Amino acid sequence: MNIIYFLLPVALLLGLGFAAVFVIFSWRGQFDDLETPAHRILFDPEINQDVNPPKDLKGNTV
Amino acid sequence: MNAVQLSISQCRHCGSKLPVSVTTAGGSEFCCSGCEYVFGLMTESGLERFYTIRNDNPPVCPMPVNEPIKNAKFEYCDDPEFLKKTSADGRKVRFYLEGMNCSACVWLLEKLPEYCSDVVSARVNLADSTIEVLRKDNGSFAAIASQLNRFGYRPHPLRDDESSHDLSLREHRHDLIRLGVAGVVTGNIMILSVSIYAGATGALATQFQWLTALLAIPSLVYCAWPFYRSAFKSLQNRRLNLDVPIVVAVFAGVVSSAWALVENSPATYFDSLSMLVFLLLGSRFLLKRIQSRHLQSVNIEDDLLVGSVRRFTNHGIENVSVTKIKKDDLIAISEGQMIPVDGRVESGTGAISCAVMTGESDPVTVSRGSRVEAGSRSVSGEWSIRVQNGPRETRLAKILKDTAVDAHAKTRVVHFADKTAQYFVALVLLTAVSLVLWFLPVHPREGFVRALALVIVTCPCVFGMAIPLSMGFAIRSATRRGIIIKTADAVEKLWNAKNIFFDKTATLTTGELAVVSASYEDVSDLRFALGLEENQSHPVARAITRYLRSLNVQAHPFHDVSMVRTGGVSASHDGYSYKILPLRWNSANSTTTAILSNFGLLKNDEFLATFELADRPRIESREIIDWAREQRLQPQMLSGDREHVVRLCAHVLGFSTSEFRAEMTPESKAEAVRNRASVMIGDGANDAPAFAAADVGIAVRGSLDVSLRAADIYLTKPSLRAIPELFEIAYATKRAIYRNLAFSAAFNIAAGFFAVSGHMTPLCAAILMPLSSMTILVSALLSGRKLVPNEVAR
Repeated sequence: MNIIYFLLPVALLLGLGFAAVFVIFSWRGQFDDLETPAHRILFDPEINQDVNPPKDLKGNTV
Repeated sequence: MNAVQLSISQCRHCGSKLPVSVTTAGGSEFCCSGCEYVFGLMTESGLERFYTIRNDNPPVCPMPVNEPIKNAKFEYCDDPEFLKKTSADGRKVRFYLEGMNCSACVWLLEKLPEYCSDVVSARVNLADSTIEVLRKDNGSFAAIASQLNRFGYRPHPLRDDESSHDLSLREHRHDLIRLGVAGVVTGNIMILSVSIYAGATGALATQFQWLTALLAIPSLVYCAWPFYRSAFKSLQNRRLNLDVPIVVAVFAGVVSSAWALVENSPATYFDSLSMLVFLLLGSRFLLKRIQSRHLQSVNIEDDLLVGSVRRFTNHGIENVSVTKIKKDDLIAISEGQMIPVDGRVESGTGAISCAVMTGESDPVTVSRGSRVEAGSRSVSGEWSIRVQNGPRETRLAKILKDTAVDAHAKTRVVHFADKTAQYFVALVLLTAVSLVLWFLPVHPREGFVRALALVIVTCPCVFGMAIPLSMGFAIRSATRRGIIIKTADAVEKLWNAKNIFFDKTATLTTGELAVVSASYEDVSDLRFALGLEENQSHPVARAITRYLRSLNVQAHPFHDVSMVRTGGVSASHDGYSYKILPLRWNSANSTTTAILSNFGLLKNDEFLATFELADRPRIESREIIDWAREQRLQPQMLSGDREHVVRLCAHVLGFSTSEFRAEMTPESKAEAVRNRASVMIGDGANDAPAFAAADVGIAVRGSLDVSLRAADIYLTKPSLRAIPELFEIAYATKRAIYRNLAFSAAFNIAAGFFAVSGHMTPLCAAILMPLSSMTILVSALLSGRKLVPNEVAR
């Protein structure tokens, strides 16, 4: 049963960690608009090859 | 592909079903000229993908765009004084857009920088129906606004100051954090409590209880803070609101739990208290979110006192802001302009439409010496006026000011829920106190336990959560249908409505002149009429042009068309003079023709054709009036228009002689609807006082800023069919609320009885209370879901 004295603080810390993350991102406005991004994600970007072509490690255009 | 298109026969732009007559005639793929115009613009700008996105992503917009306002002017958006109010840095403005509904709208609007060179970036918020636009340094907001208008999204710039947007955003984030913290705390407490309920004893149980108490601190101090504040405020005002028993329960619970903790007895209630806080915060958060979206429109900047006009000075003509216009200035008026001041015509002739002020449908000719009132719109001609009253002293400005005062003083119905809640709370607290006092001499602890159980179990959640939630759903469901409801009060007042008053012009009628009949000897003569009227902007000319085009008449070109009198034009060809003249004055003795406006086409003095014009009732008007009678709402018509015009219209719409009144001023309309359990349906400034005086004011189209100031409800769609829908929503909400009230009353009486008689422990109460709250919330949610359809039928 002694394991509970280890697990309990761990569980509480985990909860605290999530709460902290939630508070930080709430302040940064992550949850200000929950509707529009859901729509925005539906549009495929129209890939424009000239603007930012993918490059390999040496900087050559693939 | 073809087969599919043929079988569905929808408008290619808005997707609404086309009337059979249009499809069988062949050819047209659009429901109206507005849709055709926007479709053309979209394909021109290479934005056809809009339609693919829209059709691929249900729900398809029921009506994604409005017909763009023709000749709408947005120059005021670049006015420095205006920018001061709407933009902190002069580069970023938020617009409220009418008609934004779906993914395709988001796609189209966020592409703004690609087809509008004035824009750096555009960010849409679908939930608020707003777009935030960042312009280039040399960009113009007027150009941006008119681009938005061209696509059919009517833009309304929003005020930007600390008091509105930022503040509400900060509050929203704060609420969310409170809710999140309460959730985390409650979740962890429940894990510990379950083991106590399951029978943990000894040292472990004691430690768990202490841990629970520790965890509950942030919930009871930080998260529950809004309840303490609100309860304190209401006690300061000598009132009992719903937060008072909540706070009493929390305090009593904390005190008794702390006592139990010290005494090492198992009767601690930290779990139930934090659960209570979490559930209450959650339902209030939901409610606030649903409601705040609609309050946005209150921030709309009014465009009456903004914009610029051309003023004559010693050095020529200069553009000045409307607010700088003073008495005795001379200003130029051009076609389509809204006149911002009262004054007298100094030079030139033209025609104005006074529809906003009087509801009169026909344009009026003005010439030197005529008096014009602010709020009228110039429909033709170029002329100048000498200002008599500056923009803040006009009759229109006074009406709007009185309206604002009136709307403010409007006695808010004391919600019957609020009233009941007050008595309920008082009763519960009194019973609790008397329980404690009763048991004090014999068994103090027993009295305290029973009182605590009573206070916890009878939490009036139906008043605090279920009713506002149902109201919120009603508002939301109305918004989905294009009906903006300003406050929940309006929904409650709709339940009790007995009289329904309609304005005539542009409410029951289309507000636009149209040719209702024409007579002519030779159809080829009509080409002269089209040639004369084709390029005129007068409403009469537009009506005749539309009519002739529908007959496929080819225009005869004239070179010297000139305007004579109201709606009259003349030109010459081959030594003949051709004229279109109003015949009203010529045939004054004929009673039938006097009702309508008649115009004749003359070649020298010989009649070639006559046209009968009228402002026709909307197709659905009769249907709506019959519906109102069925619902035992007494329909009546109020109009500022002349007696005979109103009489004819009343006859067509089936009003009896006692059910309509003509030649009314805005003030007399207000008197007519006051204190009569009335709903007023109208548009524009001339109905504004009536909106404020009526129990519920419903504005149909009209100008958004003027109407919304006084009206409680605004219909964004031109059709009156939204009105039965609105009432249906209100009645359904009423049913849901009464059902919840009945359940809650039954539960509270039963549970209260058990608590007082001592058959319910505080623990049992703490479990039952959230259960009953959940039942009521679920019931409210279910009836709300019925109101807000997830998918709009194609």
